[in-house]
Amino acid sequence: MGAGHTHPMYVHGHSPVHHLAPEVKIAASVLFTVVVVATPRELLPAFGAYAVIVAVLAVLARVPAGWLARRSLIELPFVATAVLLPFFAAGPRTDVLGLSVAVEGLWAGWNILVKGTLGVLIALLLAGTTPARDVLIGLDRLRTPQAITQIALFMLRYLDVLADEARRMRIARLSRLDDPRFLWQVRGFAAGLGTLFLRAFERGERVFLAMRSRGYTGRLPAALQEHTRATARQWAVGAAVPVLAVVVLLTDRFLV
Amino acid sequence: MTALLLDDVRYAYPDGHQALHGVSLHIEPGERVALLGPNGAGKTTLVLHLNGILPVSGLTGSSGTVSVGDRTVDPKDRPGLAEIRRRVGLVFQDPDDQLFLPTVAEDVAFGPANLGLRGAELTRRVDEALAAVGMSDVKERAPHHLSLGQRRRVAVATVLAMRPDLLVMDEPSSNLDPQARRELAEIVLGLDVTLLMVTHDLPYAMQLCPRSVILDEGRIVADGPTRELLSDAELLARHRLELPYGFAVPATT
Repeated sequence: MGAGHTHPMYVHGHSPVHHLAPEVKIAASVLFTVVVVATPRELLPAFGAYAVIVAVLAVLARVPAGWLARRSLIELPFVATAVLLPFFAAGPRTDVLGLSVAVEGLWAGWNILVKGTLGVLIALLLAGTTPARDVLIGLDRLRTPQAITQIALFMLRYLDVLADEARRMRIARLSRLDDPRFLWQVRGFAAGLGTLFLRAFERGERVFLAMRSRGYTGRLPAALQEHTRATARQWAVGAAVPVLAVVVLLTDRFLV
Repeated sequence: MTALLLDDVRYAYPDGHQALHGVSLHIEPGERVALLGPNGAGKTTLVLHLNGILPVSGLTGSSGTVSVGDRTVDPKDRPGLAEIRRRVGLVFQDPDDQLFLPTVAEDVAFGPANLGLRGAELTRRVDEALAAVGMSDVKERAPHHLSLGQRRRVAVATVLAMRPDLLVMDEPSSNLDPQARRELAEIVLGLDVTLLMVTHDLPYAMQLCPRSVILDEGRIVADGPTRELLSDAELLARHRLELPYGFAVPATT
């Protein structure tokens, strides 16, 4: 599925998580993230419980820990902020490992770090178990405006086609001894970009004509992906994740 | 009974360029007709008239009527246009324009789903259309991973799935290697539909279509048995058409 090589995020598999309908997974991940973000940063046990939930999901989905770790490197810029905060924040200070750090900064850093990490991990689990095109189907069923999902769908299909065209144009340029290594030589490259844009634009027109010829009136027919639609049971299973998180939050807040 | 009837179709683009100067054409059900003509003759403009993409409703500069079976194309009649588009299956030259969904199966389902089919019936249409072009085994593949020949066959399936009365193909043989070209010809010959094939691949026209019409500068300038037209070297030359080097069609006696 998807446009061939271009689903670098998907981990192929047949786990219960993979087979859950995409709209259920999207809704569950978003709600889970909201609960995580809404948790006061001082409730340490709650964050521990969230981490356990994520870990259980990862095991269920059979997504390798190494893959998750590598992919979550995207979080690094935020981690850097989180690490710097304790040193630069104002207010009362305390000693950690012989370094003087701000208490307020420490909490702020921890807050960013733990919420960011949990959010990234749940998003990665969603991306790892759902092919890009299914994510779009899910978004569509969750009433995302079709203008957005259709544009994303076209991107999925035509990114490879465009990349191919760009590659051919580049080879043709190089074959005529273009060597855009210096600023004053980028003219060919810039003109190439313009041409590519025009070609993409014209292709868009032709695709639209071809779609209209087959009865397109502005909405993709829902019947195309009916077989993966979520059942009530799937919704119930998916709801378990955010509900569990809410239970953890409330227990921690009012009982402990 | 008439499959397609054009009566004095004239069309000028909004920039004033007159593309069609009164085209009349009559095709019987079951006929296979080649539409020959040099680049810029108005072939593609004519093809876009066949399912009502042109003329655009509300723009001036067009006249004449196009009828498919018992229905006349009327740009203002939306449900009527939907039926016309079901009856006329357009296969565009570049399959990448036609195949826009991430998998072959979804793309073939797009047309019939627009007609309101769903569930098991939709699946059956898809399987039937892919089987007709011998592409059942690529059902779940991405179009980008198929060869050009395979993509063009899938593009034919996307319109066959709508069970058209008239199949219109724009330059079906362009850029195909000889084997893919022959395979496509065999598939087309095996289909039970009325065919209008736009091409300047003259041997292909001869192989697939008993009858040809030549369009040049927006007018039909010749209409007759393909063999007869292709053996008239002077007629071909006058309209910038040529057989491949070293080939000639002997005149019928």
